[in-house]
Amino acid sequence: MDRYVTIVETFLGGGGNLTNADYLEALHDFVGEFSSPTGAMINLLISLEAAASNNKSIARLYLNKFNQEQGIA
Amino acid sequence: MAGLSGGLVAVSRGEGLEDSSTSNALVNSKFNNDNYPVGYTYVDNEQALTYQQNSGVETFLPAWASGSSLYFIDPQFATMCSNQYLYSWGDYELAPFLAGFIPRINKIFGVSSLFSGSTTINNDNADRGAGNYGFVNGANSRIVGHTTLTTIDSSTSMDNTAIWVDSTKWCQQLNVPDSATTVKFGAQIRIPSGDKLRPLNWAGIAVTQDTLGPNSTPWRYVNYFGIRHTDATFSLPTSGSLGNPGYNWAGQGIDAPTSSPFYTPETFTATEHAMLDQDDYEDFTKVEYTFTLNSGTSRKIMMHIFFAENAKYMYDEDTELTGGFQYYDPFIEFS
Repeated sequence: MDRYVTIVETFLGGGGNLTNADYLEALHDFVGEFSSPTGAMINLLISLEAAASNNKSIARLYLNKFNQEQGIA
Repeated sequence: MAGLSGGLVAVSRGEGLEDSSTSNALVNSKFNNDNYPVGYTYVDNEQALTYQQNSGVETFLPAWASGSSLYFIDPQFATMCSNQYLYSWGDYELAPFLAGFIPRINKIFGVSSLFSGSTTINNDNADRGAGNYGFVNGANSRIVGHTTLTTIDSSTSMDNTAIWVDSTKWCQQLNVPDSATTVKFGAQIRIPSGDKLRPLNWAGIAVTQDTLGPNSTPWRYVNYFGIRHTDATFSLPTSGSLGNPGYNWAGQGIDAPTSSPFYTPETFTATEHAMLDQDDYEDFTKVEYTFTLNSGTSRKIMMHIFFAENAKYMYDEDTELTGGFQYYDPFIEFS
């Protein structure tokens, strides 16, 4: 999960050097992993999707939800 | 050269799954329009065949409408879609985003969560929509898709093994030729050994026809088959009882306007053609069933392909695998 959290945080922090293709690759990797999903993982997936589509408000909202459900925030 | 190139592609793919039907009335049945919605989408938003979008928080499918009633936080009225798209050849591996216009298997699965306390419309509410029928708004749509309970009221908990939620569902509406008297429907399906359904989860394909029943009551006629765990023993009702109208087979209407995506019939009659044992379908197998249509003209039917997730598993937020239902080239034939 750390990889995906880092990607979203990088996006929220200004975008870093990630390209749209990088986001799509990460999103695809995530979809391949999450056939055993939890609610928290779905929130992270949506946050990653939002990052891939350049939607910061949704990405932040769902990353916060993910962190809450993981007991991080 | 074009023919040579096509041949090389076929060779590199190896032998893939064949079409299910030579007279399929469904469109985009092989999901080959290069779209990959995951996460969430909106109900009743089937797109034109020219639609393409592979990622983002608002993604849809050409010709197929989502029918999930499991809501998220924001945007309002966004609901769940748990999909993986797989290559339809070789070892049926995960297909990537931007894979092009290739035929794909769709795999639907559960989510193990009700997203309690974090949604604009509460999913932890077994009698959501009680007393509302016809074309209702999201807040009055049923969260319960199937139940063996005879009564659901405000005291009914979603911590309940007798309730199922269609956490992911895809629907396609068709006009019925006036001359048609029967429908054959089915798909190629499998549940591989490493991805079996949990004991109380099930999946299936239904075809519904909405019409007026006795005393001109709006009535949903349902023909379906399901697939489930080999140890499961539950029996689903074949008709609505007075104590729980609207809690079975509610969901997508056959002709709903976009602003009122959910349709809840006042009652229904269901025919279960089979409840298959998942252990018999570890490899792709074509299943098909036939039923007689209600008579009339300008008729419509709708196919529903759904993952019925047990409410208790969702309430408990288990981390155990939900299992996944794989299907390829669903079809409807009229005769």
